[in-house]
Formats: sequence, structure tokens, C-alpha cells
Amino acid sequence: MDIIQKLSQIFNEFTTNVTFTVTAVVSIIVFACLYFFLFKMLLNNKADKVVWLYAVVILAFGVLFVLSGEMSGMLFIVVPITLVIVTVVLYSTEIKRHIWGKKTVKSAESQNGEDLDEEKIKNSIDEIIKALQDMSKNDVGAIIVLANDNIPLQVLDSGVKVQSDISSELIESIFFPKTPLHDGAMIINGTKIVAAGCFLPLSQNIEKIPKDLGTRHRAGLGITETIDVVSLIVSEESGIISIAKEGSMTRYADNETLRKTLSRYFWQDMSVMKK
Amino acid sequence: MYKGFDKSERDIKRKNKLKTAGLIFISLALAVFTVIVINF
Repeated sequence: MDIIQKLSQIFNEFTTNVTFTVTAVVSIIVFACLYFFLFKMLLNNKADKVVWLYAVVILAFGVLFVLSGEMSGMLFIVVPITLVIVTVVLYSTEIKRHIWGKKTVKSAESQNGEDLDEEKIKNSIDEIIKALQDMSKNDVGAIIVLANDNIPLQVLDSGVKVQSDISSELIESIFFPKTPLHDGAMIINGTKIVAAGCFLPLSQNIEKIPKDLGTRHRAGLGITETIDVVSLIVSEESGIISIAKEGSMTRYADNETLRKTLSRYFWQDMSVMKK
Repeated sequence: MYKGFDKSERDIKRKNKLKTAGLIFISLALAVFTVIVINF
């Protein structure tokens, strides 16, 4: 009870005496931004518990500093700085992924300012759908990533660069079983197939993925958790076509759903990129 | 069908907005607390 009374007394004294200066307001904005980006990065990496842990640590140390009375308040700045350093050390890989996801990395395989031609887009949509449905009928496994110039070079370098126009024949040939590139992901950027046989980061969200789905689905989902792209996956076992976006997967995609997804990709995502 | 596996886009957007709002609130509260302690 003493501690609570002391805290409320301190808070009352503070609120009656303190006037919020410009420096205080700027400090609040700076710390709020720091905490926001730190917590957002942690949440994006499914570290919800760490966010709460950090909040509790900040509150606990704050109360300790106030109650002790002997330590200078300025020393408290060490606590958030330490948390930032710990996060950077522990989550260095995830931070890199976070930066990739937010920043548009203009890859060497980008469209080089090429205008998206309406006829070419319609043709590309038809070709992708035809290839997906053919592979679905024949139970050929496939994973296609629709990128917006935001695929990290590391991912592209893990496969073979293609830089070709989209055609159902080419897509089906690449994913034909026992061919060298059939096991990796195909990256489509605009109206070009930029790479094939690429390795993608796997989703760590085991609860979200049913046990009967394999590595291909985990990879398709994993890339959408870290980067703003859409993955189209054909199951090798069942031929079911799935669409992964923003870390969520929709299964049993039919012709209409595929057309809607691809149209959105070409007319919204890619046009925004070109503006 | 995998029940609870599919999410509509609206649900995802609403959840993301709520998450961001919550984060902004927590960040602001902690920032105010930090500045109070530093200036104490």
C-alpha cells in the first residue's frame, strides 16, 4: 500500500508541477516512434510476448527509478537503448527481412520503366491461369510469386534468372517434374518471368498450416509474411490451387478467384508501382 | 475445406488497423511514461 500511495503522490506532484515544454513533446514523439517501430517489427515476427515483456521491463524500471529517488532520471534512457540493442542483436535477420518488405528494392530484373501494355497484361493473366489449371489437372506442383519489384536480390540469386515473357508453355516446362528448376519458386515481376528455381523463406507459423501441406505451401506462405507479394501454389498431391497473401492462405482457388487476384496484381499493385 | 483457414481481405485489413491502433496507443503511453521518468 505504501508503494501505491507513494506512486500516486509522485504522480500528483508531477502533474501539478510539470508543464509540457516543446522538448518534452519532441521527446515523446521520438520515443513513441522508437517504440512503435520496435514493437511493429517484433509483432511482424510473431514475437507478441516479447512486446509485452519489453513494456513490462520499461514500466518496472521506470517505477524503480522513480521510487529509488537516488538515481538520475536521465539514466533511465539506458533502458530503451538497451532494449533496442538487444532486439537488433537477436533479430538481425528479421530486421533485414522487415527492411526488404517495407522498402521497395529495385531489383536488377525490374521492368526498367517499361510501360505495362494492356494487351500484354490480359495475355499474361490468361497464360498464368492456363498454366496453373493445366498443372492442377496433372497434379504438377508449382509455386509462382507475383512481385512488385520488391523481391530481395538474395532470393533471385538463389535461382536461375530467366527474364522472359509469360507463357503457359514456359511455366509448365519449368515445373515439369524432374526438370532442374521444378522444385523452386518462379518469380514473376510485371509481365516478365524474372527467375525460376528460387528458394523462399519458410513460414514458421506451424499452427496456421495444416499438417498435410508440405514445404511448397510453407514457402509460399513464408514469403508473403515478410514481403508484400502474392504467391500462387499448386499442390503436387491434390492439384489444389492456393493463393497466399499477407501471411494468409486461401485454398481451392477457381478460375474467377485467380483472375481477380491476377487482375488486382496487374492493375493495382503494379500500376501503383509505376506511378 | 479448412475452416478458419481462409480469411477475407476485409478481415485482414480490419485486424491490421486494430493492431496498428493498439501499437500506437501502447507506444505513446510508454513514450509519455519514459519522458516523465527522465524528467523526474
